Amino acid sequence: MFIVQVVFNGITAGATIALMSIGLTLIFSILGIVNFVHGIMFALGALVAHFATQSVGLDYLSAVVAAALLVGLFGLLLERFGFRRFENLVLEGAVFAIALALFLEAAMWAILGGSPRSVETPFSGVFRLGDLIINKHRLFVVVVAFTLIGALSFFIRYSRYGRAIRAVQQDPYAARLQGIEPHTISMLVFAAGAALAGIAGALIVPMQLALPDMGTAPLLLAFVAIILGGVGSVGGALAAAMVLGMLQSVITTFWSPQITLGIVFAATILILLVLPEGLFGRKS
Amino acid sequence: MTRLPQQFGRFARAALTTMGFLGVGITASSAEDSIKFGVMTALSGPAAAWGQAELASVEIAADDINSQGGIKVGDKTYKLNVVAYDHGYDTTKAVTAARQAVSQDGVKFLEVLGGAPMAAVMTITEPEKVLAFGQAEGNHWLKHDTNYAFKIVFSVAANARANHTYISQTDSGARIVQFFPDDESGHSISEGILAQGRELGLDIEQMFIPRDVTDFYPIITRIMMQEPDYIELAAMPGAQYALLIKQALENGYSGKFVFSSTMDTGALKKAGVLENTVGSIAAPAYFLQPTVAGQRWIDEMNRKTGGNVQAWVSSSYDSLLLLKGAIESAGSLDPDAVRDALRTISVEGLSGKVNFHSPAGTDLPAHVLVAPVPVALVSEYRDGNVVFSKVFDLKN
Repeated sequence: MFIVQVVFNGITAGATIALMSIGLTLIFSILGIVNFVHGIMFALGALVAHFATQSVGLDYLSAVVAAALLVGLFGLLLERFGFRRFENLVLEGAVFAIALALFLEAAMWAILGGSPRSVETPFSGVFRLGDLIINKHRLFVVVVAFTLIGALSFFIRYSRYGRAIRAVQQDPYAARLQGIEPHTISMLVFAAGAALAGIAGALIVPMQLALPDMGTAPLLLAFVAIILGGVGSVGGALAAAMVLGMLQSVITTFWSPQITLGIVFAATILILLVLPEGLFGRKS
Repeated sequence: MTRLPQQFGRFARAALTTMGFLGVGITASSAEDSIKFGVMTALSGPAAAWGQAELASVEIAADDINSQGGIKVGDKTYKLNVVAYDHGYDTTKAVTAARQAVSQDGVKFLEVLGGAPMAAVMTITEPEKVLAFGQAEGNHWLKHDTNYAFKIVFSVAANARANHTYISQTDSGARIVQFFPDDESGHSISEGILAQGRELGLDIEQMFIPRDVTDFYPIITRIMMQEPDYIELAAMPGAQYALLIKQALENGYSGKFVFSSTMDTGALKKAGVLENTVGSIAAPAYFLQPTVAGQRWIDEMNRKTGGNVQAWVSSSYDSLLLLKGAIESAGSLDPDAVRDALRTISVEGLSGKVNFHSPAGTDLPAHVLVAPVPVALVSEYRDGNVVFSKVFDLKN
């Protein structure tokens, strides 16, 4: 049972990283932008959930939807009025994203202060199966994360817009010749990626406390996941996120939290030395 | 309506701090007859609640000093100007901010939060003869040959000793899992605490947690195997240990909690675990019977921070009174003269007389603030509030 507990903890950690990394990898694959604002979107999702439940009086599930919509809209506006100018300018886009992320975080600290904010979940308490303890909200997070990732994969594989996304990923010029407008697709992808980060924040906040910098650590792991999984690959990001979550859980439980990140990065380096394109990346 | 000015104040403060990092420079002092007092603290990041409380305490002290006529040196009177720098509890940022404070802003008197930031800042302040007050734990930064740094933090190890002595007397052989931040402060504090706890016959295991950890489930899965009687939290930010407590309770932990540095009831309340910590043992150097000045400070802190009153930052207030006294006693702003005066004077602080001393059994200079006698408190819930009762006094 102890091992099952460790595995469940790993899956929970991996699900959060996956929600973050899938949006990030999609955005990179379409726009060629390393979106450092993604961590801020995660924090915004948590804060929207907080204010939607505490100030507006919405129930938690509606607050998660509100976080998805508002952060998604924020992402759409960012793409339209900011990131579009940096299409395929990886370095310039990254610098813009870093500056914007730092500014937004400083603004949030200034406006909201340093007091952490909490959100109540309707899924409080735990299931006990012998020695195994499964937190109901964590189970909810895992279920929602896998459902969303499954739906997104289905959408990308089988829907008209999904095929358009893949076409733009492969060759924007050829896609345009087929009547696909790459800018519409990039707005759609940016909004979807932002919405996923917002949902991740709203899902995580009942297990943590909302602070403006709460997205920093997940963002770092999400970057590792997309590189490990192969940039642009949704399945790769998911698999890599699960590997990272499991590594975190096993190392922390059996060894020490002090060295968790160090070992995660060492494992990443080893994998990349053997597979430079990541676990599921294609050779360019 | 009352939140608006507070939020604007926060915005203005953070905007100034951000501008400082962008190289614009914070010039809080425009009058000639003023003394800049830099507060280098965490205004962002997980320890922001500490930094905001610390800054508020310094601002209250500066306001009090200024409203009482300022600092008199000969026939000249100086006002204190507080300049805030945000290091986010990050050593690199602290060094950058210290360079700006000392080289660009001309700060000669400074307070720094955190052991690791303090050690880093001292590489700049000691050669430049800047008097630096360390609101910082750890035994590594203050040495026998330290000239211009003073330790103003209440000792976590001393507080922990009160808690451990009480536990050893009431629950001998108890198993305690202690959590510390994984940095210079945490490691330094842990060494002393481990030795004294084992001396008292307690079964202690220590764990070090990076300051950005928010998912404690794997850690708690591990410690639940050890069936601890107590989980002890030392030198961690309230927001972080509130989460740890929340997740420990979710995992079925039914033992008690021990708070050996702060017991941040605000953070515990926000995490929804305040009631679950009732019966905890705490030794946070609280004002058990605050003086008139102490009570006024509490009221001001409440007003200024919206309830983020943390007793340990009262030493920031007291140390500013000591600085005023030292400058007036020295009759000059010369750092050597002020330092020498700081080593000898005492003033009436928030909970009685305060002064710097050289702790017994050490070769340290008289640069350590005398702390109140540590006491162990047990919390209980009364009329919807958590109140503390003294159960042990280290003096006895």
